Amino acid sequence: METQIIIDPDVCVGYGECIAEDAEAVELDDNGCARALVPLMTRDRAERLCAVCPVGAISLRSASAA
Amino acid sequence: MSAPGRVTIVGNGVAGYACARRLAESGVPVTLVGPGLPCDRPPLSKRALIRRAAPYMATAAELTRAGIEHLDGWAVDLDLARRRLGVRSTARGELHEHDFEELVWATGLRLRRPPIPGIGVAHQNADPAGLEELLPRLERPGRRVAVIGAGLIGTETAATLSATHRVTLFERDELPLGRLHRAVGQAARDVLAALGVHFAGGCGLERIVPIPGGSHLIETSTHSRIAADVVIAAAGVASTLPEALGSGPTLDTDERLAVAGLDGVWACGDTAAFPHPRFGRIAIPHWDNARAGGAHVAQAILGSREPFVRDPYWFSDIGPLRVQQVGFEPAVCEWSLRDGLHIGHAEDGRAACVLLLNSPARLNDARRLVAAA
Repeated sequence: METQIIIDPDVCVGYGECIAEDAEAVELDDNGCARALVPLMTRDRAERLCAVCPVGAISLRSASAA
Repeated sequence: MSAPGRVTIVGNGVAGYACARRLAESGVPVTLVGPGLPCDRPPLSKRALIRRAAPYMATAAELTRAGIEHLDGWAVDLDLARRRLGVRSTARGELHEHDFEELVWATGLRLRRPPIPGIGVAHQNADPAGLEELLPRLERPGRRVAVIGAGLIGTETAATLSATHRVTLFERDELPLGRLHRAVGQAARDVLAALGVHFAGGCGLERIVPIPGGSHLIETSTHSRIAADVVIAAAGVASTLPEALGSGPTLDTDERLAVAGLDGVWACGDTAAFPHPRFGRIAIPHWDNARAGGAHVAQAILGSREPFVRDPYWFSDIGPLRVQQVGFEPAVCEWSLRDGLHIGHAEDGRAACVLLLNSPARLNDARRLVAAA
């Protein structure tokens, strides 16, 4: 539980691939922009979320750096 | 189970690369076969038109670092009995023979050129080689661009290029995106008009004739002749499957995406026709299915027994118009509009698909509705 995902709202266009991958970790806000629901998660889970974004809006930050 | 041996993946698009990456991350040796570097496909090719660069997903150095061996070439010969693949190198055209253990087929669909006299001059922007040829011709703004075919690729392309060029979109149907719900076609027609795209609908093309100076005249059955500097063909798709895999549009797989009747052969992306628990055997030629299917095959090769049960999903941006659809539209589809959601019902009345027009925030509602049906 050491990794945080950062979603860049200027890059996210709301295709929703991340909620299809892991609806417990991410939701779409009223503008259709993705928002993290859990502050920290395993690195594996966070990496999967990064990998599914078609526009590269999701990046990782390790908790120690946060 | 024992660790998988080397996996050979044919096809370096979204599905093939997603599969390669997941396997390589797990330490499985991977050979990725395909011309050029792994490249994203539409819908992202329209962003490539704006940035004027093909949307490659990895550099050669990144592939090496990830432990992915890249055979830069075309798979031209497949011998399933000897488990041998012939690869024609992109650079020098020579033929290599590659022995494989596990094989993943992920070559997708290709655009075909519609059978119109003179169509040979047309460019195609759905694959990286076609895109690389097209981009230099679009460098100068204000070009007269003819896009043939108003499916998703053609309509997105026309909308994107309208920002810098004078675009005519030719289509046989009266509306763009005519295969989809009529509300999509009407919304797309209005958006194209607002963007300044000339939509030539209900239009048969008779021939394309070169004219002095390097441009072309497009002769139609219904509109007057239209001159174009650049012609882009985006009408219809064709199979990429070799004879050894049946040459059809798709390969039948089991619920884990293993190709039926073949040992150690998998399929993902556009070409995989898999048994969905609710929709029956379906193939989904969209980005979401390619990425998820590629990752799923990797997990299956790593030993997962999970079936591939993802609900179909696709999205498209036509200028400012966002179209998303969850579920699978049945051949006979009865549409209703409820609470802002266009719901497509199968013959038994269940919600088979949900269409969203400019409502990205409703995606979760749409997913839940389809999943609960």
